[in-house]
Amino acid sequence: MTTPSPPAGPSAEPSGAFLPVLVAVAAWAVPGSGHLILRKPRRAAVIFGVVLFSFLFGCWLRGHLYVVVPEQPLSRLATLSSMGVGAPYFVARHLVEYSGDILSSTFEYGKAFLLTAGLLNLLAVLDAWDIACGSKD
Amino acid sequence: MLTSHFALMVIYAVQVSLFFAVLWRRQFRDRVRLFVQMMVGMVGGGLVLAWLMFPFPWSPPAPIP
Repeated sequence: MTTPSPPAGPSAEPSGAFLPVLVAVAAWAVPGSGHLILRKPRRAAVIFGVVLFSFLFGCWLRGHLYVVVPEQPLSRLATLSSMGVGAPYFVARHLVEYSGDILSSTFEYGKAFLLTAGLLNLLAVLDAWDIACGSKD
Repeated sequence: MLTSHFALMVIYAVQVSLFFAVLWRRQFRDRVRLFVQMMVGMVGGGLVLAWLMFPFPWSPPAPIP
C-alpha cells in the first residue's frame, strides 16, 4: 500500500507566498511580531523594546505626531514615517487623541524620536520580509 | 522633562545603535562591535561637529539671562 504523496508544484505555493505578506503586515502592526512569527524571539524583543521605547519617549517629550496637511506636501512623507510604527500610532492618534505640544521645549526632540520609531519599524518589516522569503537568516 | 541636549543625544544613539546591531549582525561579538562603532560615530561625531561649529555660530549668541 502506498501513501498518498503531498501535492507538488503550484498547489503548494500559496502558503509559501502568503507567509511573507502575513509576516510583513504583522511586523508593521505590532513591532517585533513578524520576527516572533519567524521564531526569532530575541530579535523580536529588541525590535519591540526599541521601537516602543522610542515612540513612548517621543510622546513623553511632547513631540509632534504628524498628520497630513494638504498645504504642506512634505507632511505626507512625515505622516507615512510616523505611521510606520503601526498600531501605537493609531492608538495615540485616535484613542488617546495625542498630537504633541508645540509650546514644549522638547517638541522637536520628541518629533525626532517619533519619526525614528516609525522608520525603524519599517526597516524591521523589510528585514522580516527578507527572512520570510528565505533571502536572509 | 529631560532637556539636556547631550543626554537626549546619547539616548537616541543607544537605541539606534542597539537596533541596527541586532538587525544587521548575527554573532554576539559582531553585534557588540557594531554597537560600539555606531555609538562612537554618533556621539563622538556630534561632539566633534559641535566643536567645529562653536567658533562659527550661524546667529549671534543668545544673551545670558
